[in-house]
Amino acid sequence: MNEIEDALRDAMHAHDTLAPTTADFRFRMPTRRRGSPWLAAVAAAGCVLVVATVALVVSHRGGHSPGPAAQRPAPSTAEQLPGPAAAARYPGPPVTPIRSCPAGMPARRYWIPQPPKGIDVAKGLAPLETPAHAIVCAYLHGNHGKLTGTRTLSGDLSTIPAGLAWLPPAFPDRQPCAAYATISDADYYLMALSYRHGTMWLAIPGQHCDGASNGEFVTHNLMGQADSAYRTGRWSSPGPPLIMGGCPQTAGRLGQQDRFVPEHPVSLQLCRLGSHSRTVTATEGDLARLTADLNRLPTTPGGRDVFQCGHGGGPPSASYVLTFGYRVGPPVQVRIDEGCRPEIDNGNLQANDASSVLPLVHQLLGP
Amino acid sequence: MNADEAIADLLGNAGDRLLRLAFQLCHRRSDAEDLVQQALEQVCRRCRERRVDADDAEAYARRAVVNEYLRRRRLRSASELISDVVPDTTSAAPDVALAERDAMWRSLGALPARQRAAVVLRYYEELPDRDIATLLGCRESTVRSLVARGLSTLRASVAEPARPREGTS
Repeated sequence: MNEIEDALRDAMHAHDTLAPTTADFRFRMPTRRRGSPWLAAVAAAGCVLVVATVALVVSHRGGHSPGPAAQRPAPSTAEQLPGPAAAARYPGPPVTPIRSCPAGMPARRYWIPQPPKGIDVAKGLAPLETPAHAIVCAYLHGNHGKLTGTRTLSGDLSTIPAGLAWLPPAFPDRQPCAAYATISDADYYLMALSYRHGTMWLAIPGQHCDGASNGEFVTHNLMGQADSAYRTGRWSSPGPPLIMGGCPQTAGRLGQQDRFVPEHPVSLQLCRLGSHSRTVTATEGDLARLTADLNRLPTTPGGRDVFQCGHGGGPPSASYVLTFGYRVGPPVQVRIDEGCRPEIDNGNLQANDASSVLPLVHQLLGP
Repeated sequence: MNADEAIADLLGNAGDRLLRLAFQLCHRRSDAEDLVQQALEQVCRRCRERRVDADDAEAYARRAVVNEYLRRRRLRSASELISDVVPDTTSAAPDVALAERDAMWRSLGALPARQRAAVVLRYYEELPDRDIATLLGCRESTVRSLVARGLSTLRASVAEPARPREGTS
């Protein structure tokens, strides 16, 4: 037997005593369904262990500033509203706003009390228009689904479409779970949005691995915003983007599920991730070229279960974040992890080969 | 068997094994618990969707632990400087054997993520290369290469341990 192998085994087993055990491991069950007795005990003692990546990013979305390529004529209405305009297309007589919450709710994933009225909810989470009335219903602490309280939102309700209408579809089962110390998996929020010609409900589970849904369209988890709205009575405005690895991180844009870069970007910032991060702004010509090159690539739905770099593993040789800005709504981000598979990802789509775009990225960002 | 029961069984039968594997990979108790938490959540979801049997739950969870470890290392790597210097020890070992064991452990912790995973799966989990290849999503030859490079680094590190830095306690 090889000496180094013996020494290695010896070292690893010697450190077994330092490993945590099930006696002190507090597992947090990702469900709010009926619990077995052991589950109730463990869940009660459990604490939040998972980073609030998705919800935190969502709460900081928007706020991008267009680069020099933004000096274009104002786009048409159709250009401004590429996705969310799909909603609220059935004007009829004015409807009565929803002002009260159901007294109870069943333990069903993404349950909403009524289907939408007068609103097409298949292509986006909410219409890109300001609701006339909005309430948040809270069902907290797994209180057998009984209503804890109702909060009517006040103040500037235009933050609601700005925060909800542009959210891209998400695959909650394939993305990092969000978690907040103050929210348990047994919590559940409903949000009722009333417009002049329609009403709709949003299901916002506290279950930290679920997304939010209007009954048909599922997007990122919104429990942080729902919890805040219930406590404060206001829907918070999108904040500035998070900066991670020297580059901005945003939540994405509706339409990125169809192509890497949805139509009509007006600016492009390229950022190299890492300790020597660097950001440059592309010219209009480079923006058009990179947009076209990216959108020509064959794609598969995102959610990278397997991520492999090179032949022997390790980190990507370099990572880049391309942020495409729009005149209206949040930017789209395309990430390139050089030498990895997949090599390109925008959160909803991915592609394996970035060789057609990397030369220009290298040229723009320099050595 | 529903998801709750599957998780309860898994924790009872294999919870300690999974936690030890996670600890061998990340060398930190809190990180190990995080890895297992994530892995069990994935098992839970797959059980609900009936995409994994209770009998396969442990194998699935082990794979999830390894994948989650590699995924986190990848995310961290974007903002981390990679160094081949073994971290300094914080306390003197009382005897030579203990010191060597400690040095080996610290050297293992300094290996690149996939090399470390391959080494742990072969020498701690005692898995055959074919199973390791399946877990890591690569070929058996890649596993052999990862292990060989890992052992080579370990051998060199243990033979020439890093000198204590000035000013450290």
